[in-house]
Amino acid sequence: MTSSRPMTIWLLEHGGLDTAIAGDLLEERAQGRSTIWYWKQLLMAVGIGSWRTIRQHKVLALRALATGCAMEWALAFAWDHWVPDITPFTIAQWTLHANPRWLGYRQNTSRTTGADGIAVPALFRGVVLVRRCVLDHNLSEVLDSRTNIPRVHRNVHHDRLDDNYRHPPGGHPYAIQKGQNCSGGCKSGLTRFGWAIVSVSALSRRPRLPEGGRASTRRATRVVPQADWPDFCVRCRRPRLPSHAATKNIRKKASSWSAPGMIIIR
Amino acid sequence: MHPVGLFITFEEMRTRTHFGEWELLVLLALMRLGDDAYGVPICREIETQTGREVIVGSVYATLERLEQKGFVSSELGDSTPERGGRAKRYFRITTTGVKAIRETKHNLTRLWQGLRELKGGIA
Repeated sequence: MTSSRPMTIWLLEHGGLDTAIAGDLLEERAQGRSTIWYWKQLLMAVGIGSWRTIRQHKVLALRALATGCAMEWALAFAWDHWVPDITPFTIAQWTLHANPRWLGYRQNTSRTTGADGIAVPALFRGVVLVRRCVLDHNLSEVLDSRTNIPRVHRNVHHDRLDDNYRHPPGGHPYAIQKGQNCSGGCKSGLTRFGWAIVSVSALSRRPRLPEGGRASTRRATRVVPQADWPDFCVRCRRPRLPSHAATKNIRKKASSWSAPGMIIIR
Repeated sequence: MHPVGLFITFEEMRTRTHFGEWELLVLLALMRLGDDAYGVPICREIETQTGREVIVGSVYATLERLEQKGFVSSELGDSTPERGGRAKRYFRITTTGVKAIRETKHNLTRLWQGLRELKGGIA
């Protein structure tokens, strides 16, 4: 009975009735009334109080009804027109860069499965990321591989860095083959987003040359014309000079890569 | 009484000035209890005298409506631990209420007089 007191008082106060009714009901309950009688009386009291409130304030009740209908219509309109069709398929496409068919989802999955559509692929993707970070590579390499930057280090096993080992037979349509670039076939939002972030990050770290082409970095002591500034080393973020490339055993493959300033290191 | 019928009865009672059956029952129970008339005794009195289950909320709704019409007055009383610290609300019939009940009784008595069916045997 003690646990039902706050709920009783709350119901009666929000039902438009005097809280003296709560005292009467509790007194009757203490004198031996049954639980069914108690809750029946309580719900009937709330119903009567609500009915009295509506009856005494008809205009307010109509206004509340109209407001509620308008809000429901507005929310339904916004949901239908502006909220994207969130399904496990689209979530996986956008955020996880994985094909949800591998997880058993179909493309026409209804919105009601959005919760597990978020949870299951996110958990799966998190496990994959952690595994790759801990066992194979460091975090930057994993993220770079996810954003399809064609950067392959000479000391990294190719079969672990690319995605071919997770693809089903027949190959993923957006699969990056070993040593090849993603030539515009990948339409994933995360890929484009990752592209933008990594590109901005790389360009922001790119050492700027002063007027006249003199490099400002300590290691770039050689005069390099600004127009002939093609690329830089993605590992040390320094201008790629012939001597630098020779010492780092870097091989430029500018023909297979269209993004300015990026090279493939093997 | 069915809940829907209860609501309809309340709606009909709201506009009229004479007493309905339920209002008359509540007022008579109030008069019988005297100064010790609050929710629980009123409900028990009605249940005892009529033998039908009473909804506490409907008793309070009726008493508040009668109070708005001036037939009943109320005041808050003491509280007990078994009531969860909630004060009792004592109701008392006003002079206007007593006059209205007398008038209702007079009208009903006049209508009852001369009815052979109510004298026994036929109905």
